[in-house]
Amino acid sequence: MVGYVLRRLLYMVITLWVIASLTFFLMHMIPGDPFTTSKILDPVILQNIKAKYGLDQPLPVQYLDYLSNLIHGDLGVSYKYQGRTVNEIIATTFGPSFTIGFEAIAFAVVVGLALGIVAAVQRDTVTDRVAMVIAVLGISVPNFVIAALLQYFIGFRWQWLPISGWGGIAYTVLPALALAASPMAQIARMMRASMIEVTGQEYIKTARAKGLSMPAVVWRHMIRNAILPVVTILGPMIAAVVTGVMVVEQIFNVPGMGQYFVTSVEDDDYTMIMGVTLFFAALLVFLLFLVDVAYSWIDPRIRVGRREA
Amino acid sequence: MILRHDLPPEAFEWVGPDVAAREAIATPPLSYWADAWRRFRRNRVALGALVILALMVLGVLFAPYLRPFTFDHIDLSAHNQPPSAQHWFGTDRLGRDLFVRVWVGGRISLEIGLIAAVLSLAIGVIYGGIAAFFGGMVDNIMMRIVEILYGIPFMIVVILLMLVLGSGVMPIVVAFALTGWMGMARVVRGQILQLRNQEFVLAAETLGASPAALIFRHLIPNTMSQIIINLTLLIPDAIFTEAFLSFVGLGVQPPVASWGSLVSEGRLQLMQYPWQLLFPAILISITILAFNLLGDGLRDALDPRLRQ
Repeated sequence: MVGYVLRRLLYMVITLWVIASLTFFLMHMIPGDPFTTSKILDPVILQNIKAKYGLDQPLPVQYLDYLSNLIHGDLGVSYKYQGRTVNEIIATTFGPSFTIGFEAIAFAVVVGLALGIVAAVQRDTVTDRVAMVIAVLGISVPNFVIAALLQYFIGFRWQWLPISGWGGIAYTVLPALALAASPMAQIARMMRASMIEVTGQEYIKTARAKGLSMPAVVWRHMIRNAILPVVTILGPMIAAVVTGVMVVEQIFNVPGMGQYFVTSVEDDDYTMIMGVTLFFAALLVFLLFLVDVAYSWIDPRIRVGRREA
Repeated sequence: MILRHDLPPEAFEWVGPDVAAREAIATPPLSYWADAWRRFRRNRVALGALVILALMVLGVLFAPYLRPFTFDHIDLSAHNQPPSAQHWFGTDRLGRDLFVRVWVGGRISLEIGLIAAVLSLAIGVIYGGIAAFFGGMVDNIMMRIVEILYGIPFMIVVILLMLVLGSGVMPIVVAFALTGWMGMARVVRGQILQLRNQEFVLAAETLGASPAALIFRHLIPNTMSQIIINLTLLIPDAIFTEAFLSFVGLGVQPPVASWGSLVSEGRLQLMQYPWQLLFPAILISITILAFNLLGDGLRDALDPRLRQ
């Protein structure tokens, strides 16, 4: 177990280094720089500005500086928002994104599992059909379409919840729902398949044969065993939610990191782009690491080195 | 229960073996693909999905010519009109006909979906094939690389690549191809590792087949079903990625339209003119839905062991 965790930890560090380098070199491949594109500056002033941000140094020096700053947790200063560091901006914008993302994942897990379990227990009934139609729709309708529809009907037409903006829990519901739809559907489908597979196992027959009632069998034997494979898709699911945050925040005008990222892309604010990318990536890589470790803790077979699913 | 003494030995007669009947094949011989098609045909949902996709392809090819407008024809006197006999899906804020734009936009979306998926499939098949075929150290290093790349948030890399490559159709295709191949590489590797030690491969190798011939003549054709299933699931991914990028403003640029950019434009006037968002949203959802259902159906048909 310790060896496994250490190996995953090493991978995590390498992944982060690859992402950091990739971001750095890709950003420097973009033609032009943030100070020559907008307006023509006096060469002396331009030189001074470049010196201020270290852009007059040779590329390898910039790269090493950048890595050393990263190790110290310093993501640099924004080119666009004078005097504000990327760290500050992330600190102020992370809250809303986290709230929405967390609500979405919680909703997706709870409702997804419930739908999957009910569909499997009531297999081939109307309930099952309805649950699976919901699941297939959730996977097929892009999250920005769901977001727009929620905004139009619930926010605008029926006025049950605020259309957009931020402040109080009522504002978080629609963005979280829009984000949750697709992961919820995936969990429901996976859980149903997994439950049905478990149903055919011998130990379920044994449990029934020894006189356990059906609800008890479902609760004590089926769900516990069926839930394992579902843990594996938590990783990709979290990734989808993290990227989904970007669009959904734009649609609902939430002052979160995703919206900042899209704006910084439009503004050619390199340090912001690199900083937010790295933060997103680091967050995601860390969450994936947690999922992996959690999975190997729940299911000891993984630790022994069964690599393929 | 049959009573034994009711049947004396004389009641039995030796009819002799009927050699012809024994050798006759009860059902007509079916190749693997014919058998898969037989299973697929019985799945009404999957068949329906296939028909919808065929209609969708016909639609993007021919539907724009049903109306006397071009996708970029601006008519400011007729802007933001609701659906009517003149403009079947209404018009946008510049008076462009939405019926034509939606179908022309679908052309771009489907094009990107197909090309990007096939490209990333090719990369994945070659990469996974090489890793599994050579095995050992090569496999180990190649799969560690995939494992590291797999941890990188896909959409963020696509966005960074779009910034470098510029916006447009080709950059989306390249960005998706460069990031979408890893799942396929894993699947192909797993399949080939299983096939690698089977007798027919050994036979081919003994007869002097080159590594390339082994990979492309013997191993990959036998992983075809897995590759096809993955392709049908990769296409909606690519369509979704295009829509996402166009929605964020990094995708196709006006006046060119795609489903993603049409949804994005429609959203700006959602409260006043909801149909501007509705039509492209419905088409993109139906397409992704059909691909997903088709993928499910193909999995059941091509790999009956996985059927649940």
